[in-house]
Amino acid sequence: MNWRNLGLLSLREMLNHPRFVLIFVLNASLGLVGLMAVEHFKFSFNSVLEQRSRTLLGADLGIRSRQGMPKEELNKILERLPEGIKSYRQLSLFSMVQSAEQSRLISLRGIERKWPFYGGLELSKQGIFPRKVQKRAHFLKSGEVWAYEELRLQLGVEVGERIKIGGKDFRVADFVIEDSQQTFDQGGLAPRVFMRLDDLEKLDLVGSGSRYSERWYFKWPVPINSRELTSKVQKLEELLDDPAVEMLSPQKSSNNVGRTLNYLNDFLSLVSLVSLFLACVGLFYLYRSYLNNRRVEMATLCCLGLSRKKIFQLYLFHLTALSLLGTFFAFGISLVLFPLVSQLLSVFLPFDLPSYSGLRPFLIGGSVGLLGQWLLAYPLLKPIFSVRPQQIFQSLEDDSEKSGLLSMILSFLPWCLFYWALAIYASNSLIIGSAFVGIFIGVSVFAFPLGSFILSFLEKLELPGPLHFRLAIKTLTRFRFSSLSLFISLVLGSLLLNIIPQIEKNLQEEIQAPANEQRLPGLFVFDIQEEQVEPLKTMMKENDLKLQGISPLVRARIMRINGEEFKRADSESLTREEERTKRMRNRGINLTFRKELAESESLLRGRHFTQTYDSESDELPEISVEYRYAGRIGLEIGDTVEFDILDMPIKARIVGIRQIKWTSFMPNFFIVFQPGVIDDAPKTYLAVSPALETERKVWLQNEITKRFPNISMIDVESVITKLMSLLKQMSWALQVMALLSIFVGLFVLYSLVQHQMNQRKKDMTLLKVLGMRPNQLKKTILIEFLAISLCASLFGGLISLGVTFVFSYFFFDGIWTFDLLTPFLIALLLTGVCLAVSFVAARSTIKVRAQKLLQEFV
Amino acid sequence: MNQDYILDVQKIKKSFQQGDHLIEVLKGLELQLKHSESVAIVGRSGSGKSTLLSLLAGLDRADEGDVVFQNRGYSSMSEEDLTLFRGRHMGIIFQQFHLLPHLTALENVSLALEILGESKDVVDRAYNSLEQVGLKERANHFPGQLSGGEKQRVAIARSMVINPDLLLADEPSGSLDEDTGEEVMELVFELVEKKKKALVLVTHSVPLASRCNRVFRLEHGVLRPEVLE
Repeated sequence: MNWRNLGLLSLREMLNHPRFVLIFVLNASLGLVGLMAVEHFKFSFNSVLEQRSRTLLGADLGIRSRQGMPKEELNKILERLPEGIKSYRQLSLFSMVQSAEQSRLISLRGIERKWPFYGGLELSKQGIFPRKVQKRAHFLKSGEVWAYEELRLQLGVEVGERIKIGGKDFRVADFVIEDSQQTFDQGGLAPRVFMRLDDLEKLDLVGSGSRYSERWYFKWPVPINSRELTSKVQKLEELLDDPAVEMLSPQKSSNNVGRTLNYLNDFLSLVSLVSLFLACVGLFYLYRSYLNNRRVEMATLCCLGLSRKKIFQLYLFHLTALSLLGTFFAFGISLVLFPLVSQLLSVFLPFDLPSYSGLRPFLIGGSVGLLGQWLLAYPLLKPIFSVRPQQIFQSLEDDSEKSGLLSMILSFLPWCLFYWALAIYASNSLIIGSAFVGIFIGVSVFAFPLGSFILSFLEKLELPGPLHFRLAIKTLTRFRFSSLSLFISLVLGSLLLNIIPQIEKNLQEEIQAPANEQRLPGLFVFDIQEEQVEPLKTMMKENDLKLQGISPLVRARIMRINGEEFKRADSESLTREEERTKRMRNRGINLTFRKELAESESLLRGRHFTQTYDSESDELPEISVEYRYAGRIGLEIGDTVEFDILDMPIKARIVGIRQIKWTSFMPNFFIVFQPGVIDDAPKTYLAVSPALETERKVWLQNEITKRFPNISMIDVESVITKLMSLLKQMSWALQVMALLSIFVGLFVLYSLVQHQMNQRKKDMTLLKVLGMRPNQLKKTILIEFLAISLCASLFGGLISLGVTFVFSYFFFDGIWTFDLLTPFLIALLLTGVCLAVSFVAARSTIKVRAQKLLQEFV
Repeated sequence: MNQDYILDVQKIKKSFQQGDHLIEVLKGLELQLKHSESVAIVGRSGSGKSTLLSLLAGLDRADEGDVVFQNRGYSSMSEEDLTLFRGRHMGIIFQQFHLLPHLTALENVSLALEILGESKDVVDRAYNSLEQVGLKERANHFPGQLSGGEKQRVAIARSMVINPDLLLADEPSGSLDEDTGEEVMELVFELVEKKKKALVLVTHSVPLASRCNRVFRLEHGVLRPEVLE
């Protein structure tokens, strides 16, 4: 038989079983739709970011230093830029702004007239700046600022009124309604204020030890495409030695803007993979049952001369056609869902997205759907090779070869590997992708023998009770494969439904607990100059307050580790871990020194310092390192690290690895020196105020700003509020995606139950003929599905506690709360929903009239 | 109704809608059956034999007329009463056996008693019933492990375990080879005679029909006595 005839045969097969086709295709499409919708969103978002990348940067390329720009580094770049290139300089730092009544933390930008080369601002009075067609809008005059619109209310000022920055008065010339370079770097905590660069330089905010960033931006003399630009930027970055200096590119800017959302997209993709997994479980069961019912036909085809290989091809064709149909449906549904996903994530979006992002998401989703099915095809279609045509003359009920456990596991291996690769792609992380797959496959693999054991146990138990109860248990224990398929699907659904709220709750409690117990600082104070520490302490003391956690901050660069040069990470980062490591390696480092561990710290390995450093000693000075940071840049106890502190080299040895409770919001540092080493280095100070009522906190903030205009402060409570809000949004987005997975799980449940009921229609009818009342039948079915769904939901809930514990241990520094109530409530809810779904699916079978037994089944 | 009769079918009519057409299957059919009497019903495919059996078993209701069994008319009984009544007084043997595949032979047989709510000596009675059909040693085997003939014996054991007053058999040897079919029918007649049950047998087989006390042909919606050569 040729391919064309095989295809026609398989098409006829589909047309003859429209119900099965519908259920299969719906299952397949629901499994894919979540992934496709997220891919749509990702592509759309990233393509818009790419289009806007130069606008986001405001230039073709740039160079940034976290302190003053080292001349040599700047010259290295300038020498290699083409003639005719335009440039402008910008300074940015955090500072406080003060009006008559209020003070606020702002992100202050000192700009030149040429700023920006791309994009700009929309001002409330002047309109667009810079204007392309007409003559330029009026640039800032000396003593003027443009402020973000939200400061109008926060400071209670209007255009033309005065505010104080760095102790000097400035006139608000206009408010910024839209900023094309707006990102979420500060999460809205520090709205921007723009002033002339020369004005900013005259303020006493930019001093030695202060934290500020200097940037140079460039516009290429001729048009240049993104790929060429990225390549040039990479080459230029290789010339830089100072890790505190980095090149800026449109791509980097867009990556920074999209970072939060891309993390969320990673997790959304992962959660959508659960739908895919559940759908695959359902599809496997459905198709397996379907094939089982076709064994007589297959035996007949064999008798008619079709080889088993051709029959395999026939059903592979059939499976492929069904998968393609499912993919098309998924694409259609995902187009509809896409606006919902955008709406869900709108709080993270700085701009609107187009409704269609091209065929790529479809191609990715389609490839996943097809490849996934093909990899499942072998374990599914393998039984075809065991059909023995001679048994067509006998009963075919028990002719299938029972494959061994090892053989079964091996036949699923390609699909498992595919799923693992998919999880890594979805999460952009080898660790998280592997952990995710490990959890789900591990749970399934564990649930299967556990479920089998429970069923065997129940079977041996021979429980007493009414007939419908005993029949239900017998059905469960003897239709083992279908019972276990349902059990595993529901366990996974319950696991997923439990994990996200548990992690959210753990994080919430950890973040809020200090606030509830009033252990949280009120204000986080930074940029305190050395000579301001005592006056500030005195001022606080005069008002019955104590400045806490006073910590010196010394800027430095890491030059060598164990004698080897500490180079920046220039290579392309493939995973999120590599991205984080790259960011860590490309920064300068903030150092501090103290004798004891802070309250928010604990020692994991090694020891803390025993004494102040003796400069006469031959021993190297000692440092301790935060454990995650140590892991990211490859540090261990005994390693030597060489620092450059304002051109002074200092070598030190690691003696301890620490863990920090970052949610304490106290001044914490990745690297801490023992006292007596860097005490005399230029530094600023960080500190915190105790928790205060709002009014007093506002008063304190205003007072410090008035007396010490260069000192900046962050309201810790507003940070927490912002964090909680972000957490809530992310959790909400993840839960919606989880609900989609649950919906898929319930649909899988519905199809499995309906399919089972169809298979058991004859049995149900026979029971009616034998005298069983419809009520008893209903009870039988209800007990069956109550048993499965309750066990699975509870089991999934219990496992989720273990999973979140492991998760929190490895990713959240052990933040975990034991909570049985939430999994229990979710189990009850899920059981109720499952029962309702099962009952709806079984209803039509229960209603079949008993006389059908004498007609339809004969 | 004559007290001698266990079953009295009183001019029943039954029609089915097929598209725009109303098909009259039974047109005032009558039948009386005495206790311990056996009746064979022959007829062509599509003559209405299955419909008649459904009505006799109380699985369907006649459009007109009534079926009176043990002095109780079906038309006056509710669905639930009819179900219970059938379970208690009638044994049904099907051409396709219709055993529950996930229950053993013993469980299939005892199911009939459990459905009636019986709890006393259920297992023993089921075993006895299996012994009577020669399958006691296969009690713990599933239908998938039994041959066609064995399955039908289990079905017979199930129909007899409740000690029915009437046995309805729908082509019980129809799915079996000649020899096995003969064995099975031999068993059926033996049990019917031994336990003095009334039997309605639907069959294509003339030899089988001739073993019954009376033979009827279902033709044009009514039963006519058939004389077999």
